[in-house]
Amino acid sequence: ITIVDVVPLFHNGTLAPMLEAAAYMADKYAKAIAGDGAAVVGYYFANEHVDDDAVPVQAATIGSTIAQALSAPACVVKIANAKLRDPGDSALVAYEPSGPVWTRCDSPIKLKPSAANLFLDALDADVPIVDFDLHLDDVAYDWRNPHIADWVSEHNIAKSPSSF
Amino acid sequence: EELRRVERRGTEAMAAVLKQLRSRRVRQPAVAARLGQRVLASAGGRRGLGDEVWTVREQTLIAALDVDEAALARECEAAVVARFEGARAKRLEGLAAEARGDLDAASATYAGMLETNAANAAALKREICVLKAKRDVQGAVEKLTAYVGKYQSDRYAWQELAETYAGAGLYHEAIFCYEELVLFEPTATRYLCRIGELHYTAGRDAGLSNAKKLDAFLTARKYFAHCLHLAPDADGASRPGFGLVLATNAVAEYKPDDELNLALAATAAARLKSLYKAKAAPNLVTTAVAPFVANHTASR
Repeated sequence: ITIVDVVPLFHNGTLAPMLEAAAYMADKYAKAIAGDGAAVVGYYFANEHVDDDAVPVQAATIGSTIAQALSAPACVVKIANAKLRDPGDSALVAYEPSGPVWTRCDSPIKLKPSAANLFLDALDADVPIVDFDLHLDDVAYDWRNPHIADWVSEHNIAKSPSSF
Repeated sequence: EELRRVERRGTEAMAAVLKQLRSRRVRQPAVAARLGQRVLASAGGRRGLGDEVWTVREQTLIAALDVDEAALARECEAAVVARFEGARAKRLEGLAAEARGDLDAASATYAGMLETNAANAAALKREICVLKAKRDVQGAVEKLTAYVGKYQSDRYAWQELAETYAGAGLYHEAIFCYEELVLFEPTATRYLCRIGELHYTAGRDAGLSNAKKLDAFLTARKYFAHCLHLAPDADGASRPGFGLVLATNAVAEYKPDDELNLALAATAAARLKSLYKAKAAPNLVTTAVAPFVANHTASR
């Protein structure tokens, strides 16, 4: 699975209506930027507690729903809080479905370093990240985060799609 | 750069910024920790603060805990604890212990505070935080419930309880809490919308009977519609807008030709379109919002 973009969703508790709206629109966006073959292929999450390594029920359900809708490989990605301390570690752990349960992938996530670095540069320059919650509070904020791509091109850094 | 300019202007300017953060109750821990540290490190700065030096120490301590500046936090804590013994200082001791991960020490501190005063709200709330840190959801809910029993007008506590229930999938319990909040603020669309979202989410339970599902969607529809009625042009109208599109779409599966449902669906679509056209990037409408509305339109 190659992931070319992510849409951050909610930081205030996920409930069905906004999730359904966001998922539908994210899928439309995926096709707009990467062609009809593109789709929402997975769901990423981060747990509240630094030592909580489990895939929460909600994430598993959402992942399974995506997999069903796709009838193609899907993934769930956890941000492993404990690994965030190590700047060299992407802290991303992928899970694949085996029946209703999500198990850790044997193969690790391959992150294009240039992708992570240029994003970090933007963050250091205080470019804001807009998630869906922020967008819903004020639709002038764009959850596609085009301003990050704009900042990157303005600073003449070579853009490359992030591949996992 | 803004920060550096303030720093260059000296400790009085820094203290003024710290005061603004306190009075506006703005949480900017990186700024507060940095400025607090500089002001407190300078003898002239401390003198200039007068008695406020203790408030600044408190503010700096909490900020240092937020941004994990352990040394700075220890310094502030030591100073405060050496000088004060009351509940306010004890609470800071407890916070510092929590941040260190020493939950037992924190619990002991709060238990001590409650022995002195069983109604100390700060201690009661921190106990709940300790339970959350231990991932004892059941315990946290029990203590939160007891807390809102004592402090019925503490809206943040009711909301915390609501969201704790929602996170555990207990949507009806969460709705109960938000209904209490609506009693305090009947026109607060953020509460009304959340109730709508909770009803809709509950309706998505595959195990429910059709009658119960319809009931959930109808209730959600009512709340979303009410939000749009109360604040049609507000920035936050997108939430009830999307909610109403989805709720009317869900209801339409059971009542495809219901006039009221169709009218509400049309209202929702119109509200969303006008909000997005006024404020959002144009291609966001064409790429995402318009297809969403078209695909979830109740008129079949």
